[in-house]
Amino acid sequence: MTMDMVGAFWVIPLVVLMLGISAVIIVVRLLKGPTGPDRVVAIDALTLVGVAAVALGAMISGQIVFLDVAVVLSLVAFLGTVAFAPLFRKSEQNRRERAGLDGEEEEGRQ
Amino acid sequence: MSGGSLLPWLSMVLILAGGLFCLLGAIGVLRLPDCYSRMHAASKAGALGAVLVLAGVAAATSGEATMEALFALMAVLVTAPLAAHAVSRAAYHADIKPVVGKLGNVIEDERLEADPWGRSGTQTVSGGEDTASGRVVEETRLTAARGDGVSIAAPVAPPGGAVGLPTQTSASSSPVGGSAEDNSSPSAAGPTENQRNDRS
Repeated sequence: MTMDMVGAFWVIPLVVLMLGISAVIIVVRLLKGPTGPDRVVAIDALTLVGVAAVALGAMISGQIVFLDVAVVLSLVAFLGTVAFAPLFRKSEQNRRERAGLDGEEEEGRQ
Repeated sequence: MSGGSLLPWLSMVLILAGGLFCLLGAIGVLRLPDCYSRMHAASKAGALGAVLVLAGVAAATSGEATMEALFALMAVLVTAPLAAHAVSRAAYHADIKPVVGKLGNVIEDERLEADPWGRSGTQTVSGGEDTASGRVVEETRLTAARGDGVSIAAPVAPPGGAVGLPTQTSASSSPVGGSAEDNSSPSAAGPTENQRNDRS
């Protein structure tokens, strides 16, 4: 696999640095996220950053096989994110039943 | 290469833009207020960043690797919006309230307009009452203002009650919440019956 790209010696390290910063920021949200959907969204964004990083890695190392990894990673991210949805629906229901369902009526509607 | 000397420049621009969009999406995921807007940032800016990096790889390489990168691009482009939609829908059904501005929650408003008695979210109400449901709401508001005491708080039911979610327990404080929860209970049929008697 040949790679022709203008300024690859500075573009690729810069973009790798950007992706690393993005991953760190998303991990902060993943650890901080107050509800379940926040964490699931953070995982989804993290796998998208991972897809971009794997594509860059394929370009750096010159191995076409890494692009297969990018395809499979995006598909597995989709399946994982969709599989989380009924999970936190059920857990949210349990949490609300334990909390006794109050504090709903305070937001008055005009 | 077919593009001459254009494709290396294009690849540089695409990969730089992809890294920038990934960074913007990550900052949005960190800083936006609620999980729906975070999902907006993750599924639009983040997916665009990954797609741009893949397009840059496809522009920089040639032959089989280009096709592979385009296939990965298609996979990301198809699956990312579906995943975001599924998660946001499940979050809304798990009764996580979005942070709304001055204009309010439009989903709740539309559901309340189409379904003022909270009949489990479906649009079909028996007896042809659903076509005039907006009129029913207006008349009930007028009745409440007139002080007939038919159903004072019925059209302004709490939003959690109007959703009709099964997550509600029956120990709700107001009778309106109970009527919004259970369709077959007599308290649910009560205001509607009074309303029909009023109109006839």
